[in-house]
Amino acid sequence: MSRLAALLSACLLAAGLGAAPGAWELRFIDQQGEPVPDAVASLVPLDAAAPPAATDRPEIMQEGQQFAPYVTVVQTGSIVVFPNRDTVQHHVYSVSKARRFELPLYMPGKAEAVTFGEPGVVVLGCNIHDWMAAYLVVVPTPWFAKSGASGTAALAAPAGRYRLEIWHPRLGKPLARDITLADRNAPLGYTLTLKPDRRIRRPTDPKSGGYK
Amino acid sequence: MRPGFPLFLCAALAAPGLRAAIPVGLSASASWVDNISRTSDAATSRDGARYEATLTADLNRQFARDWFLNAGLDLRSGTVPDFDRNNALELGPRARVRRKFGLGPFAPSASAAAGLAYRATGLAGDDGWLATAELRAAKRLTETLRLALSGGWLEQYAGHSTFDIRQQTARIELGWDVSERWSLTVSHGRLWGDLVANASGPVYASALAGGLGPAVQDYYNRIAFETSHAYGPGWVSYRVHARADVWSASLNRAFWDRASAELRVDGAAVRSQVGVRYETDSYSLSLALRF
Repeated sequence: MSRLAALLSACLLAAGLGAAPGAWELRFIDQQGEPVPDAVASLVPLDAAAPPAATDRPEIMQEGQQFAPYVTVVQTGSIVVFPNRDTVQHHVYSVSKARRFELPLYMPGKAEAVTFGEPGVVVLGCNIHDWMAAYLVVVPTPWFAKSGASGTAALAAPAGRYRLEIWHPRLGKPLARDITLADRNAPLGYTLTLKPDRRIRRPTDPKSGGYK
Repeated sequence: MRPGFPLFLCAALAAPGLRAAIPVGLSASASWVDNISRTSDAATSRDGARYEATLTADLNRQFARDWFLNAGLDLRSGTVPDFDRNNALELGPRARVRRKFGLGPFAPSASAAAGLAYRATGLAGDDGWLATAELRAAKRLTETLRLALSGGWLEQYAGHSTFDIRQQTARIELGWDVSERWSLTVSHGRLWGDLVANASGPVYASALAGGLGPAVQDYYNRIAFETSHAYGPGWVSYRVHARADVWSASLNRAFWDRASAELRVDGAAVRSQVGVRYETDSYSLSLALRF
C-alpha cells in the first residue's frame, strides 16, 4: 500500500469539469512521463454484490497474424468470441490459472466462444505463431475501463466503497487500494513503473546457412 | 528446363485467391565471394560477385494438435557475371514436418525436412537433381534468444560424375532478437563429404604430375575431374572428399512485417582428405519480401 501511495499522485487538473455522478477519469503515465495505453482499472464493490455480467459477447480476433485487441477486459462469467479473420490457421491457447483452454486446428472463418468464469489474467497465445500474444483481464465487476492511446480511462460506477485495482501487462504486481467513490471525483493520475516490453518478435523470413 | 514453366508458376502465384492461401516470397541478394572458384592455389584463385533471386510459394498447415506441415516450391536463379558457366537455375518442391512438444513459445520443437530440385547450370555436367534432407531441433531460451541444432544431408545426381556429390552437415545456430527490428544470427557447423573444387589448367597438370607431392598426385589421378572452363579457359573442376568448418553471421533488419534486409557473412575452411585447403568467404546483402 505504501508503494501504491508513492505511485499515486492526485492531480486536480479539472476538478468539477462536468464529470457525471460517479464518473471518474484516470490518467496513466510511465516512469518517463509517456502516456500508458492498455492499463486496466476496475472497481470491485466492497459493500454489495456486483451485478451480473452483461450479455454482450466481446471479440478477440486473429487478424494479420496478431490478436486484436491486445488487452481486453470482461466481467466474470462473460463469453468471449475468438474469430479467426486471417487467411491462415491458428492454435489459440491459454495456460493461465484463471482459464486453461485450447482451440487447435483453428481454421480461417471459425469463431468459437469461450466462457470465463473465474477472475484473473488470462494470457493468450498462438501455438503456431509464437509472437502472437494478448491479455484477457477477467474482473468480478461490471465497472472497469482500459486506457487508450492517450493514457486515459473513464470509469463510471454508483457512489460507494470500492476496491480500485490497476493492472497492466508490464506492471510487476497489480496495484490496489480501497476508495470511496463520490458523485463527483477529481481525476487521478498514476505513474506506473513498467518493466521492459519483452514481447516475442515476429520473425522475418530466415534463410538457411547452407554451403554447397 | 522448359522456360514456360517458371512463367506459368509466377502467373499462377500472382492470382489473388491463390496468394491468400499460399504465401509467396521473393528475395534477391548480391554477394561478393572471396575465392569463388574454390581454388587451393591462392595465386590463381578467382573472386567474384554472385546475384541470386528466389521465388518461393508456401503452404502451411497444422494437421494435428502438435504437428505442422510446411510444403513449398522454390524457384532460384543464380548469376555469376564474371564466370557465367556457373549461372544456375533451380526449381523444386520441399516439405517440412514439425512437432512441437507443448504449448507456448518456449516449448521445444523437432522437425524433419526433405527437398528435391532440378538444377540447370552453364556447365553441362553439373545439371541434375539435388536431394536434401534435414533433422532439426529448436528451443527458445528467452524471449530474445533462440537455439537450434540441425543435421543435414545433401546429394546431387549430376550429368557427370565430377559433380555427383554427397554431403552431411551438423550445425548449431543461435539467434538473438536485438530489438523490435534488428536480429543477429550466428551459426557454426561441420561438413563432411564431397565438394567440387577448381584449378587452372597448369596448376592441375602440375598436381597430376606430382608437383604438389605424391599423395596429392595419387589422389588426383583417382578422383573424377574434367575440363569445365568454369573459371576461365582450361580450368578443371574436380571432386574431392573433404571436411569443412562452416560458419555464418547475419544481421537482419525488418522494415515491416513483410519486408526485411539482411547483411550476411559466410565462411568455409575446407580441408580435403589429402590435406589440401580451400578457404572461401562470402559477403552478401539481401532483401526479402513476402506477399
